Amino acid sequence: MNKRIGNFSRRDFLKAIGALSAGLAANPLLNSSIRTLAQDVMSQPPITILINDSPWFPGFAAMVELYTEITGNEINLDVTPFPGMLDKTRNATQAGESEYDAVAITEQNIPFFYKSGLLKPILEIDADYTLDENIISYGDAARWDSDLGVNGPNGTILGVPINGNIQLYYYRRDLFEEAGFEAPKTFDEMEAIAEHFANPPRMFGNANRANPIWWEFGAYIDSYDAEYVRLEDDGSWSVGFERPEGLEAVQRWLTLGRTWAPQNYADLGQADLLALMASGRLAQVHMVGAAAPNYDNPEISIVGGNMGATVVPGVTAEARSPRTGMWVMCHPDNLPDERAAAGLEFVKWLTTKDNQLAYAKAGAIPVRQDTYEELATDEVVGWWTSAFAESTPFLHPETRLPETPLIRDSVSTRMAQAYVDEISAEEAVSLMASEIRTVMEDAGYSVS
Amino acid sequence: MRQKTLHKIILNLALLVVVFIILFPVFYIVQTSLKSTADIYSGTFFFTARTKNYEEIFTGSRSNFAELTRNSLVVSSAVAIICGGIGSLAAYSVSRLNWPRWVTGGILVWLLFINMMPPIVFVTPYYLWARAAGIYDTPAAVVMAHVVLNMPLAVIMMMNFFAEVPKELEEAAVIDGCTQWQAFSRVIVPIVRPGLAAMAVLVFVFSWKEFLFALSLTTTSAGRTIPVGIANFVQEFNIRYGEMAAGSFVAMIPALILVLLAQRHIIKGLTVGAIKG
Amino acid sequence: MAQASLTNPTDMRARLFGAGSFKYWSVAPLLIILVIFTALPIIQLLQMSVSELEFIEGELVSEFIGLGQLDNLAKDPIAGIAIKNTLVFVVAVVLIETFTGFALAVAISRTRTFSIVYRSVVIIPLLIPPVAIGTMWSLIYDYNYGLITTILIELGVQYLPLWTADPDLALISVIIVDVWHWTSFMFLIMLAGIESIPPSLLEAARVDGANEFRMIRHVILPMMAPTILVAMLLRTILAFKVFDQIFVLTSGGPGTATQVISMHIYKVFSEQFRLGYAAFLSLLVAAFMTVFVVFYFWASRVVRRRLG
Repeated sequence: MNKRIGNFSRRDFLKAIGALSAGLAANPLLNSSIRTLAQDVMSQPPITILINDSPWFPGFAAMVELYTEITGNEINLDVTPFPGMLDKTRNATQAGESEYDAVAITEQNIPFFYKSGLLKPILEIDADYTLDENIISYGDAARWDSDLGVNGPNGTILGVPINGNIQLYYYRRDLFEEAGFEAPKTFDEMEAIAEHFANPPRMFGNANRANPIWWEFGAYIDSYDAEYVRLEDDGSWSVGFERPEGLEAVQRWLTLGRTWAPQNYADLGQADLLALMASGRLAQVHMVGAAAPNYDNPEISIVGGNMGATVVPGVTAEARSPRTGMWVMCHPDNLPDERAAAGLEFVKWLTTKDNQLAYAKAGAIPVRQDTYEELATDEVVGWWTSAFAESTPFLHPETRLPETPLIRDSVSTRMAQAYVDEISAEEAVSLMASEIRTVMEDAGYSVS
Repeated sequence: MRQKTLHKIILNLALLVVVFIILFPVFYIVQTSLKSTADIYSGTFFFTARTKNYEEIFTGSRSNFAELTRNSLVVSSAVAIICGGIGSLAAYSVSRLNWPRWVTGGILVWLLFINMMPPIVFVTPYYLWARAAGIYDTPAAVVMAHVVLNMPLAVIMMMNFFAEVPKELEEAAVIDGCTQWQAFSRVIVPIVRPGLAAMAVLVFVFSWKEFLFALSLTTTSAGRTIPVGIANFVQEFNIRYGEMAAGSFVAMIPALILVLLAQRHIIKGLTVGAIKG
Repeated sequence: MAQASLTNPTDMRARLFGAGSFKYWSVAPLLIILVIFTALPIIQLLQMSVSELEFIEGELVSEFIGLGQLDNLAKDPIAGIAIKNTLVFVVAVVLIETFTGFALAVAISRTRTFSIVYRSVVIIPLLIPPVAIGTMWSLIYDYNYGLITTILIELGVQYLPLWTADPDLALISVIIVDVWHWTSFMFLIMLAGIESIPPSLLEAARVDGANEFRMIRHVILPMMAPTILVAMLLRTILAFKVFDQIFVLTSGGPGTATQVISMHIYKVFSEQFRLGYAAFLSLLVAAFMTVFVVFYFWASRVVRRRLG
């Protein structure tokens, strides 16, 4: 037997050192010796899930407790602040054996993890698994089509949606009724409403998120039929900012974001929008759907009971395009089968219709259409669950490519510059067009 | 004499202004910790103070502030002691013991280089090592990372303070029959104790504030420190200002007491047995 | 002894346990830590900076591209702006904090009765996690419900600054927070420097009839110069790495007014997972830092030579 140093053997240690000094071959970060080094580290623990500490977390935690109570299976949670999720997931999938039996992955990180091969296909864990058709597709968020290099209906199932977050349009129902306004369906109607209610500094007509300008702006760009990038029928990719509608979308965003907003419009984050709305100083806002339960919380909000929500407006009522921003639960590839199966067991349990009802009532965001429809008339959550149900046919997921983070970098930078007139809208559009084209061409896509 | 008193009054008045400027945001933190979120959003001066945020961080179902504070104190103290010991020994050695220039220069460049790199490049290797060594999710893992990250500060700062000490002192000590170790520990260290104390405090503080490794090398409150707990209050669209402020304020106090005691101890304790310079 | 051969066991033993052995084992723990914990990550980093890395079927595959990262740099919309902002930020905060830290250290070293109070107060900003500092200051600066706005309205002021929402004020706002936060760092090192000045020197100057200003100018400042330079060096490297505080306060906005390079590197490394380019950018920034470091070392040598 080798002498043990801590939990790993001296031989393994020397092997690791040897591998480093040998020039590290092809693979410096994920060193295969380090992989074996960690192999015998963990005994089989009860299930551990990596989950982000988001405002909907308490709903998730309640379901975990319920699961333990019902099944007797123990679940540990690694509750991590949002910015740490990506790195923790990546680290865990690179170790000898993942410390997590299941990891929550946010929509924007889906392409990286799905493409990387770091996740275990669900059918390899359970050959009989089928995605219930009541689980909303969110643009095939569960599946990865490795031939197309993007999510697709024929792809392999790599994750199961566990949080159905999307964008909603919120408004002050009490004020709208008083003034005789209907909830708007188009940007034009939104502008008229903003104009009517604007009375700064007591009341602002509209405000948009500026930190960063990306996700919400996606609903504009998609509605104008100028998606950042789009796979055309001929198999090539097109760049939306190269179409004239791209500029129109930018100008609409600038108008709605700046004209009726507080003076610090250039520095508004999601928390600021929530604060403005919750303190009764904003007539309408387009923001994250998961924020809805906050407006009923008297600790935070003085507008509880007076809120309405509906589908995010578009250029026309038909072209409304709210973006999705959901989460999937996945299982790292470096898990033994029984651990992955134990993780999947919980996910299956969580996504049944009844449990999704309980999930919503506990403050989380369900992923099932039947759940939303049943909750639409609920006294407490009905005002927003009905808006979720209504939004489903309009949902537009982001084009989930591994290159999307680079596209996001270009868009959020140029839009931020245009927002404060560092550059003009026209300059921003032409820069974004050429930068996105370069990103796509460099990555080897055929761009039309 | 009267002029001296006047000077003193002016000096203290000026410092009082500085104290006020420094403490103003701290008062604001305390005020925020006593507010509800709705009161914070309305920006009012007038509100009903309540202790709910404090109750939440200590007795709430997900509260773990007591554990986080304990971990923070353990980690930061350990890091300060290890860096203080190893760092000052090494700093003394390279700055005073006639090493060839390439050795001194090499160590200095190495330390500066680690210090210049963004800490994130160390995250994945340290994660894998911590897992492999079986110290993942313990304070020991965090200590390991913090010791490495703070070593450059410790050594470079102490090299400066050792350089100020006149050479004749250690020569005299050696002639008196001291070994090199005795000369170092009994003669040199007492002279640089203000620098040593400042270095230990700074290393403590850096470990106390550190977030990235405290998060990456831990899973539960068994190993996590305060900055991770604080960061959990800052959520995408719902920043729990009240609890965050309460947490920041509570965590500040034991650290402040510890730092002051340690500073006094280092300065006083090392004076004892010192050969008068 | 100096010529001792490594192969001779007697010499080896003398080195390790003899009278001169202190020289070796005093530096050994540091070297062991450096070799074990930093050699591998540094080699990896250097290697990554000339490679392109990607996960293919669960394995991280690296391809050598030499100086290919220069292309990425040329295409990067933010790196240039971020480096410029970082340089402005670094120069501003280091100069301001050196001054405020020195002034505070001199002032507090003169106090007796309240010395302990002052010293404790000054340490406080360092004990608050940067995330909390960023969040609290964003609350202080906030235009709609922030502390400063509330106070200014109470005072009847008409012009309300936008602070972090004003592209012209944003970097200044960030610098103000940094000065509040980090002056204590400079203070602690400089106070230790002052306390290390032999009291006999100060006495001698006082006997010679030097007034306060002359004492500072002709005794304290020259004696302190090396310490000040070391503090500036350490602070400069730290300031180049400023991250959480700005990330929470402005996330780089409005526009690109507060984009700094460490935030960009984090994004490239973590979100975009372009390990090669992130490593390259890290080395590029290190090159900028090196310019400052070389300057401090040069200045330090000049100063020490003057002091004799």
